[in-house]
Amino acid sequence: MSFKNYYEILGIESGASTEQIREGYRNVSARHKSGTNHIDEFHQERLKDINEAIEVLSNPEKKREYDKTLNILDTVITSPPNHVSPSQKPASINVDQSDAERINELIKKHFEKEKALREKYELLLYSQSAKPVRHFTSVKVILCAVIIGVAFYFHSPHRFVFDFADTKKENFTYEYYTKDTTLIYAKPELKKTKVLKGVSKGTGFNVISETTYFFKIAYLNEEGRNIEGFIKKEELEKSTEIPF
Amino acid sequence: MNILVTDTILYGIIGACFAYLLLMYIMQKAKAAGLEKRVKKARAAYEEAKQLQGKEKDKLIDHISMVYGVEQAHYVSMGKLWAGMPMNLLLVARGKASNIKQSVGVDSVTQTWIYTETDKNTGSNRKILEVVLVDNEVNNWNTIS
Repeated sequence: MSFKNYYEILGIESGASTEQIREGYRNVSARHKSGTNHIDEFHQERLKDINEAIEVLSNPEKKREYDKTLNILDTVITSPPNHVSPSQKPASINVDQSDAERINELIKKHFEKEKALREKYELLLYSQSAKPVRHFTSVKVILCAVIIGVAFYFHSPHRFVFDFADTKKENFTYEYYTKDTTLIYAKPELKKTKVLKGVSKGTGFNVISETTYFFKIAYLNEEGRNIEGFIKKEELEKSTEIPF
Repeated sequence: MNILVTDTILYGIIGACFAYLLLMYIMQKAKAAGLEKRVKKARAAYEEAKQLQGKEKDKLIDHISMVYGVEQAHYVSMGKLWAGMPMNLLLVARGKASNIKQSVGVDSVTQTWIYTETDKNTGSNRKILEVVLVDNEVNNWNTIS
């Protein structure tokens, strides 16, 4: 980790008062917390730096030590360079004043560019972290659909009325229903008579007439013709519903 | 109510709903495009700053090689240290230290430059290099692995 300028992080001048430090902290931390429950990695990192900065700058002892480091770093590039040799001990190289100044100037520029690069990088991360606002949401679509539905209901209420009467008529038009699977006979007797049709449980019939043991009923055969026949009374039960 | 009026109200509501949804859709698309443009711009600015910084560093290394020699310049660009290395070259080679402790003796000034790195798992800072400078020159160093 390279050196972090806590004053820059809090957006204040070095040597700022305690009150200014606190105000700087409030401002920058609010910028990274503002209005979001979800804090992404970028803002988390910035908040970590901000908290680190306030921790150091609000503690007099740590601040003193930090300011000392900052001062030394500032004076490094103004102090005259000495002799140098990478191979153990100095085979002295005399650096003249103008070269030293030029080097220090270049070092200063180098750090300025590095700072600018860091700022650009932060800006890039910041723009990448921005989440697009969702205007077109499913909630809005559903809401519009409901509004249209309600408007349509008030416009044409008759379209929403279902004709239950027809259905009821269809269902409860019969007086009698078969209790179980049963047979329709051609004549009102069981022996020597032709079975016309077998019917399933729950089939409805209207009675035309009756004998002692049989009801005379009518039904439509497969060809659509109306056929009359007889069903044993015991096989039918009276409908509990009031027929239409 | 007049059928024309009710029809007008109904179609007005339907039209307004569709117009609203269309507007929301367009706004969303526009904002997303704006965001993308901003990222592109920021990336271009970053690349440009990176190039400028690279050029500036090359210029600095060239000058160091002119003044101190090619070997020293190579060492600096590689981030290597040597005994007797001037403080400003240490600054170029390893960057600014996180913490500097200074003690002033009778005839010399000793500084300890401490470099740290953030542990990704714990988030705490741990020491990775300690460089001791005497009178603005690197005297010795200790790499902590």
